Amino acid sequence: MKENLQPAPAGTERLREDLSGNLILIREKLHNSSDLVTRPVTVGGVEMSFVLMEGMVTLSKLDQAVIRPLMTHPAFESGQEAFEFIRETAIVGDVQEVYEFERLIQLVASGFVAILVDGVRAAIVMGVQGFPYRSISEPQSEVNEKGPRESFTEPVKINVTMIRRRMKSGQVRFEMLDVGTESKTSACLAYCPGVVDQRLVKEVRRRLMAVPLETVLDAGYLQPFLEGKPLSLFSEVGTTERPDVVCAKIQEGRVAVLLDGTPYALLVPFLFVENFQSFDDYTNRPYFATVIRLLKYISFFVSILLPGAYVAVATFHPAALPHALLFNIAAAEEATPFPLVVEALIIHLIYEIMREAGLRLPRPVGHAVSIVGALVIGDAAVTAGIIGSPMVMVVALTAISSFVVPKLYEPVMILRFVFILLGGLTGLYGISLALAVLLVNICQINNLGIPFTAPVTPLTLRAMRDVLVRAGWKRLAKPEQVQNLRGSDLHH
Amino acid sequence: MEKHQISWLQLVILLFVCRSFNLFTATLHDVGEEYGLIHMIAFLVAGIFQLLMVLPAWGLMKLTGRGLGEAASYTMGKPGVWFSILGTVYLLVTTSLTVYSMANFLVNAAFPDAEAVFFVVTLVLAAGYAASLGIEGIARAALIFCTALIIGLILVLIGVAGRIDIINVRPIVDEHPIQSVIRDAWIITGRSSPVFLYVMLASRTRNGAGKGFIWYLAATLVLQELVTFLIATVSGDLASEQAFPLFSLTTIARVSVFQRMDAVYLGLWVTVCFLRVAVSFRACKELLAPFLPEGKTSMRRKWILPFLMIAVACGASVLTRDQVLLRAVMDILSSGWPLVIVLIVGPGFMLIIGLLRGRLRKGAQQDAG
Repeated sequence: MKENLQPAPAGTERLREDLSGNLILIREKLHNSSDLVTRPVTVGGVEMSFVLMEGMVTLSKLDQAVIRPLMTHPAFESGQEAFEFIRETAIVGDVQEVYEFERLIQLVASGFVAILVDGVRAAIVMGVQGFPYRSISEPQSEVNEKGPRESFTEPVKINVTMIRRRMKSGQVRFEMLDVGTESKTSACLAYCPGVVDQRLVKEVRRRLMAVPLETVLDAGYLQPFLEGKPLSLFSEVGTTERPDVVCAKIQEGRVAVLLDGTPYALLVPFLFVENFQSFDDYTNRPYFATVIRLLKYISFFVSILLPGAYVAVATFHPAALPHALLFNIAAAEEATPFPLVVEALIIHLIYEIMREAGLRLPRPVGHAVSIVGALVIGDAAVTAGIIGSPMVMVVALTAISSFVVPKLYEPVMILRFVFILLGGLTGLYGISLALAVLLVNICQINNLGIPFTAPVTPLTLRAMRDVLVRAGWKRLAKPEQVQNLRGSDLHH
Repeated sequence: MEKHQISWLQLVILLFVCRSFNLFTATLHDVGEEYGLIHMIAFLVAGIFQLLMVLPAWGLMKLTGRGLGEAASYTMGKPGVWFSILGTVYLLVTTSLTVYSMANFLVNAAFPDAEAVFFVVTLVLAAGYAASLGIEGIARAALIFCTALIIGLILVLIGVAGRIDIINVRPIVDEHPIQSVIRDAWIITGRSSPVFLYVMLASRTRNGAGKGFIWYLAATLVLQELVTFLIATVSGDLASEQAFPLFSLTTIARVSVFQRMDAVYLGLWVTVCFLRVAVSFRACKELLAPFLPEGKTSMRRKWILPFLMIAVACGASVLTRDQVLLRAVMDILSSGWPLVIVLIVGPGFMLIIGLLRGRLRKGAQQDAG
């Protein structure tokens, strides 16, 4: 016991030979938490103890893997012999020897069982986790018509197996690390070592290791730390809840980050044009996928620009409109009390309130909210002469368009309001100027050395086969690696 | 040096878009001429003038292995700052004129009730923000602006195709056609401040800036010829009476359901102007930065951009109010001497000083090493 009296540096305190001393310290370090189970037993004349968290372990697995083999052994000459026996006979995939309290506690809190043997300054920990989790279900935000319908679930290990099942050649590497100084949440980097630029992996790892947060409960917490400069409305980190998408992306030289407890993966580097790609594009025939993709681009521009442009043209540049349309608009607006810009802002605000309410409420109530919004508020507002009917049509078209590219909903919503305001105050001048500023802003993004606007600008013609159009699989057979795009700092 | 650089093609596209601004707001009728064959030939001759004018600056950059601003500091030491100041003043004046032209156009053509100062301030703020981000973002955005510009021009071409009348192209009836061509070419050259911008930003390219300059001249020549041809053949003699001939063209262009194309073009011109002002700010930074190195003076370096923005905003605002000053500035720029000073006299002088001090080959070798 003498050698154990010296305190070890914080965070690296080593286990001791004395079993009861170890157990006391574990209890102390876990603040005598009620879910901590320590079960001292004597087997073959040697004292040992199981340490686990209640409800996180499959006891039948533990029984099969450790307890039964132990019971068959007549007697041990020493604790060391018992320790080695357990280590060699345990029929569990994940068996580790641990020497430090911090690591031991982290593993036990993750659902491992630790076995401490009296007289041995180490513990054996085994992965016999068994806690309830949500089963694999269909993707919620990346719904597809054809193709696989599996989406990630919360436990990172299950998500890893979902990727591994799809890429059996061994070209994928998974690398575990902990994030969050207190939560020690397991994060997993997934990449193809033969494809990815190692500088990219190194940088992603460095950024994750440097995350200063105490608790990381969701991959969204990590997103800002993986983003670069300048500040932008558009996310520089991709997200997907589909394992098949992760497989495709890491084959293009990207790195996926899976976080325990998060049912989606982060993907870096991420390009702006990827917002317009979906899994169905690759299962449909190329001509149809191309048309759908063009629709997505049009919808994106409609959803951010249509209300602003409508307000600007009708207010400042009516000469640009066909006469018949201009007269109709003028007649509708004649009866309303507010200027067009105020009208547009009010109706968009109401729409966003209803959308938010419908999203958070239980589904049946959400439908009721939609009906109230569409029929009662929309119809009544036009009938009462508060809002002109062309504006209702503009808002409806904008709202539908914004759901065509759901990944961009957040920036689209903000930009829509900005453009309405600018259109109403400064006409097409303000809209053009803001659009130019926005364009330069996203063109400047160079996260992890890859231009965010590639392959459109800087132009990489070869990669354009999957941007405005979707070429056939015969031409897409060889994936375009992200580091080979023009303007990439990772290009050799 | 910033980490990222641009390609020569990006620089060509960027400066091509910047140059296209001249076609929108500045026209040859400012010097009392009419559209005709003379001007179409003058554009070609102006291209040759510009090619010859950049040679001293090009030689200096090649022999020192540095950009123009850095070469001034390298060959002349601290006195080189005067060249940078001269270049900055030239760019500030031309940029102020650009902003003034845009504000003037907006007030006259689209927003008669608005104050020109509002457009001046918003344009400068937007361009200043873009310049603060770096040249890569501006250069990448230029490709998209350029695409929009070309689509826009094609739409105008389609919209006015039925009105083109070749008979409107004024034949050469001048008694001294060669003198007229040279005079017009010199005026066009004098107003070609993007040439200086090209030289300033050439050091930001990875390679091929020389080859790119030829492409730049060729592309701008095609654009100028096309626009001049359109204006001359559609508007005829009226073109010389119009304040903004190309804009007038868009007001009569009808494509599909659109009654007029001017609103679309207004948007396009604003973005082109924004880009040009942002590029000018970057070029000024390139000129001044070598004299304010990182370290003790890094704070002063951070103030360069705000200073440039304030200077341009003030300059453009003064021009909107003082027509005498405006005329004087335009005359001075049209004389071509400011461009001669910053492209020929300044770099030529630095070449001689560098040669006397034995710094030319040495600089290039150091760079290669």
